[in-house]
Amino acid sequence: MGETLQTLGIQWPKLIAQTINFAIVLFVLWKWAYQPVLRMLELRREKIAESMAQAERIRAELEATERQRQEILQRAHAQAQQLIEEARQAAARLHAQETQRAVATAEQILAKAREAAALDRARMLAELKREVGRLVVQTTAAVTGKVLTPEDQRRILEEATRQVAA
Amino acid sequence: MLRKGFTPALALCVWLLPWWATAAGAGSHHGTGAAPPVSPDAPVLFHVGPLPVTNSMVYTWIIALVIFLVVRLGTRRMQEVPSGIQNVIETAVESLEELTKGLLEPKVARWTFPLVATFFLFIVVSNLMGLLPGVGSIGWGPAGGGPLGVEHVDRPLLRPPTADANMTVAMAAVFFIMSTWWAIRYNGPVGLLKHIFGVKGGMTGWIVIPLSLIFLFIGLIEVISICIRPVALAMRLYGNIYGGESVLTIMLTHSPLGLGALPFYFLELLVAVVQALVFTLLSIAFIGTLCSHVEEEGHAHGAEH
Repeated sequence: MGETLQTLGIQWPKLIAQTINFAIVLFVLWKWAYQPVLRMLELRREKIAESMAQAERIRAELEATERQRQEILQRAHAQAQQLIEEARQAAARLHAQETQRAVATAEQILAKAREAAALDRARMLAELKREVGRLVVQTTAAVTGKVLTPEDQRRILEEATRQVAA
Repeated sequence: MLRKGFTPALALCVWLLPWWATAAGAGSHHGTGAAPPVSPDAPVLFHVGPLPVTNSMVYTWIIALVIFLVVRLGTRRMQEVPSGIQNVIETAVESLEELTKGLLEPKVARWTFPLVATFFLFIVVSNLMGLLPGVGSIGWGPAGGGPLGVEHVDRPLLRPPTADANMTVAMAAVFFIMSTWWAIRYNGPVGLLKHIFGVKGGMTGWIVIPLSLIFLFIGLIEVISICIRPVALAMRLYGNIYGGESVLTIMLTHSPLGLGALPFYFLELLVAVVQALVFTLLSIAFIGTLCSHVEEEGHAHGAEH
């Protein structure tokens, strides 16, 4: 055993010195390699997890927004349809009202026209009677050669008027 | 500082090409006599007070400095999007963390990660830097051809720390002490004794009495096994790297222009990484055998079913 240790050059001072050397390497690596690298890896892990959570949140928000957009669109579409329907009904109603009003106005105009025509006819008929009476009186006076009295004139006029009217 | 009888000649043999070592007279004497081609112990270069400073210690300091510089360069200004050296360091640390977490319970992995990761990084850097030209071939020896040439290098200036039994034993000792501490911390002192000597298999009743004798014996074997583990770790690493150094030295000095060493350099590149991985994985596995409740959990599951 002792001979083997001697052959391999294992001695306490060298062994302790190499142990210290190894401890120094361990310290150097721990202080300036493992600690900062593990800290960085942990930081990166946290950031990745945070980014993934954020991405998930954004995706959920996007879905919710899309859902809301669809709902709003559907609502707007329904409202537009309703408005169109209402407008269509209002237009139909207005059309009916205007038609009725136009018919009434037309009937009114027609009635007035008939009335005016009747009045004109009556007036013309009266004038015609009067003219015919006057002509009959004039003709009668001319034919008979005598001067007709007012009474005769009135009687002949009435007779002529009655016959014209008949 | 230098022993009497040796020419203090710094051999400028093998900085760029292996064959230069041969051409500069690294010597063809190795292997012909009884002396091994590479000294099994790390030669002492000088003393600092009572402390003998070996060439492997000097190279350990250089390796520590290189590790420090690389690590500082890589992690001084850490960016969220890594690049360059930071990327390399992050990859190494993350891979080792994943490896440790994959084999040990999370709590134990958190305790052990710095040590086992340092085992791997230090051993792999030492082994790979041990293959650099000049390591083991520049040093002191009997005067040879040329003004600074030596016949063969007796005391290299640099030697890979993993080819020095003191370093491998030191790492194994650290592993042994720390694994024992973690085993006590994980199981508790009584729990650890039960873990080693206790009757396994969920037996109850009178059968426990004879079984406890058998498990006491098994526990003793387990204790011996636990004590042998660091020795095996240390000697395996030392033997492989020292053996590789010896093979390279022999092939450099006994083949034309040292070209025979070229295939072995590729082999040693592989060995450098594999041995680091073996040391690390075995350390993790040994810690795992002492710091786990797998068997108990298995029985619990069995009982549930």
